[in-house]
This record gives sequence, structure tokens and C-alpha cells, in this order.
Amino acid sequence: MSHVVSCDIELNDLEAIKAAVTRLGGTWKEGQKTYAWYGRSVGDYPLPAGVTVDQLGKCNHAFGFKGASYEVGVTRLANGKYTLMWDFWGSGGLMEHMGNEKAHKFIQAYGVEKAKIEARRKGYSAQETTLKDGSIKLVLSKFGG
Amino acid sequence: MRQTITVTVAPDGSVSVETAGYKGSSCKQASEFIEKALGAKTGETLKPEYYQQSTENRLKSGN
Repeated sequence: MSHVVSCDIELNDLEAIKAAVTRLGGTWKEGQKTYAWYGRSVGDYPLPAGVTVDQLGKCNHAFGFKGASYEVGVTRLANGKYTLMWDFWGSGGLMEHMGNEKAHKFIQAYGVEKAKIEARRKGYSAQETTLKDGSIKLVLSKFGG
Repeated sequence: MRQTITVTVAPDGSVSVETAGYKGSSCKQASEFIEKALGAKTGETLKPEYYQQSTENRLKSGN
């Protein structure tokens, strides 16, 4: 019996966020309360959901990439989930690592790492392949189960 | 049939979770932990086998 389910990824696991940073070749900065950015909002893009202007520049943890002068802030929201705070201005150097303004490259890396972590916890082995369209496929299987 | 859960994460961050080889409604239970871990469910499609199997089960149990 089979079924297919689609879902939107939510950042809710700090361990998987760290694993995604490592996967993309970044450096995790545990407990760093600020992240490097332009320094003020010019109001050309809406703020992330659950974030106020006062929170810009502040975070619970941060991460960076070699060659990028700006950093990404990881902020824990009131609902327990995490959001990424970062300035994608070209000279900051983050865009190539994060993929696009919605950080899709990072979200994909997070989704893969989160699925692998959960699979391991449940005793599944995971086989990973990258498809032609750039999708990452994980086949989870349990031996003797 | 070997039981597998296939998780595909697209470059735009969308995810699909597909189960194969499970008996009865256990396929839903099998993949639920991944779905819950990743985020909000946006859609679900039951593959033809789901209905076929359901029919067989009904016939076997005499309902």
C-alpha cells in the first residue's frame, strides 16, 4: 500500500539546522547573538514572519561562509520554531550559499538532514542520491523490519 | 515486497514522501514521523494500490 504526501519544510530542529550548515560548507557560531549585515532595514522587503524591526541584527545563534562578509542569524520564535535572518545584498556574499532570497538551497539541505536524523532515530538506513533536476532523494529502509 | 519510504526534497524546498511495500494503512503510520518532523502537510495522494488493497481486505474479512 502506498501514498504520497507533500509538505512545506519548517525549521524546528537546531541539530538539523547545524547539520545543514555543515552540509553547505558553512561555519556554525554557537550562541553568537548578532549577525553581520547592512545594519539597517531599508524597508524594501517584508520582515520574516514573527520578527519585528527591533530584532533585526539580533539572533540566538549565527553561521557564516568563507568569503562572505555578512552572516546568517538563527532566531528562535515565540512558537518554538526558528527563522533565518540574513541580508541577501550581493556584496554580502551569502546568496550563492543560500540559493535565493527565500534561502531555498539552505531549506533543501535542512530538509535532507532533518529527514536523515529522524530516520536514524527510528532505525532506518538512508541512501541519498541527487537527481538531474537538483532534487535530493532519500530512500529509507529498515532491515529485518 | 521491501518496505521503503522515499523522501524527495526539491531545490525549492518542497518535499514529497512516498511509501511502498507496507500492508494495510501502516503505510501512513510509517511515513508519519517524517512528515511531522519536516513541517506542515500540504497535500496527500493515495496511490491506486491503496484502494486495491483496501478492497482485498474487505473481501477477506467478509465485509
